[in-house]
Amino acid sequence: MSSICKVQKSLKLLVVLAAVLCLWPAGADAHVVWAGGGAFWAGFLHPLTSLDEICFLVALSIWSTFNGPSTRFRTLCTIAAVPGVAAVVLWWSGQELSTVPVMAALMIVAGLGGAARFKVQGVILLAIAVIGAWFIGSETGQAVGKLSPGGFIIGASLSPAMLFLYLLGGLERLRLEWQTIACRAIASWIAAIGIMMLTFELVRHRVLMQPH
Amino acid sequence: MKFTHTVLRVAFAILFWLVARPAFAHIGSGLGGGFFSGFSHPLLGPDHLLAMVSVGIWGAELGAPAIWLLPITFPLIMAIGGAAGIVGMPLPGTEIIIALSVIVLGAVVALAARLNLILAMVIVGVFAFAHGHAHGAEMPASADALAFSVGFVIATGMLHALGITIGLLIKWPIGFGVVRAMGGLAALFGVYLIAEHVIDL
Repeated sequence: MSSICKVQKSLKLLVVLAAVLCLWPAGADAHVVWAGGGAFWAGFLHPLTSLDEICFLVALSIWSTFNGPSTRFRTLCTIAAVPGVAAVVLWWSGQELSTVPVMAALMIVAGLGGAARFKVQGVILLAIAVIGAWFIGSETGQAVGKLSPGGFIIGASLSPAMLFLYLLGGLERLRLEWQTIACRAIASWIAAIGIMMLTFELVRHRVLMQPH
Repeated sequence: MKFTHTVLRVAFAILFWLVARPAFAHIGSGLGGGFFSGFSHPLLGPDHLLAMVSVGIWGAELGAPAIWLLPITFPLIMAIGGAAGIVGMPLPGTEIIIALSVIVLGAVVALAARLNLILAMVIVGVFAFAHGHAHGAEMPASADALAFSVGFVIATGMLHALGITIGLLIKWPIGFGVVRAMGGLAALFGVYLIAEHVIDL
């Protein structure tokens, strides 16, 4: 059984335990116990409502799948660990970082890699995962606002890792040829979206000028 | 008597449903507007629609690896064309090239032309660039760029998938004939589009 399957099994167990706890009769509390609950959910939903982050994670998961189990596991660990660190750094420093052009560029690279089923050294894929995860975390760090930073950052670090894990778990079950082709087609679509997005961002930032 | 009333009611309901027009108070802006605008753009233009479905059908006629290589090439080159359109790079005669794409792609489907894979990719790539340029140039300024791109790439992919599905009919002799006839009709429509542009000029 691969490490991803083990983690998925643990997650399933956690969901069952959570369901049991929900069904357990409890007293009615008039006050919220932990004020960070709202911030946690806001953080949890933050990456899941960001199309560029989702597109990048989908493309990266497809490309990682074509590069063997050890690469998959390393990228998963990166996606799980780096966004939290980046979010804390950006929130603490209070810097503003333009993340969209980088995410668009990463969508192109990961999309083309997945579409071409490009075999690369694990280090290259890991570097792309680190950059992507850092910018995902940066978006989180800048979006904290007046919410509880702890809850928000924990939530926003958890959801990309969970999404990536489920994507890898699903992709691991690809057996038929048409399923692999469909994944490569999706990766090419993500690259295409990235090309359009990057151009639009460069025009917006006046790096590329419109003649009219 | 009761049955006739029911039939009349249903007929009127269908009639009203067909003549009803949605009221749009706002232009497509923001995330939802951008997606809808991008998604509907290839679907509402018969020239885009026919060209993209034809690419899928031709891929199915050529078999592997063209069946998946052509639909993967098309969105990528189309995005590069879209980028050129966003930047404002001029492409003279875009509409003529698009009409020409309907003729050529319809013709290769009708003739079941078994061209070299590289040549097929070049043909598809050239036309994809023109289609993408039109998409990029016509992108509403108020629309969300990401949502627009997602919408039109998904719509394009769905049209290719539809084309591949139609192309699978070639397994049967009657289906092969129907598919080729459809290609011929698409090419004729392309001729009509060209004629329309020439008259406009």
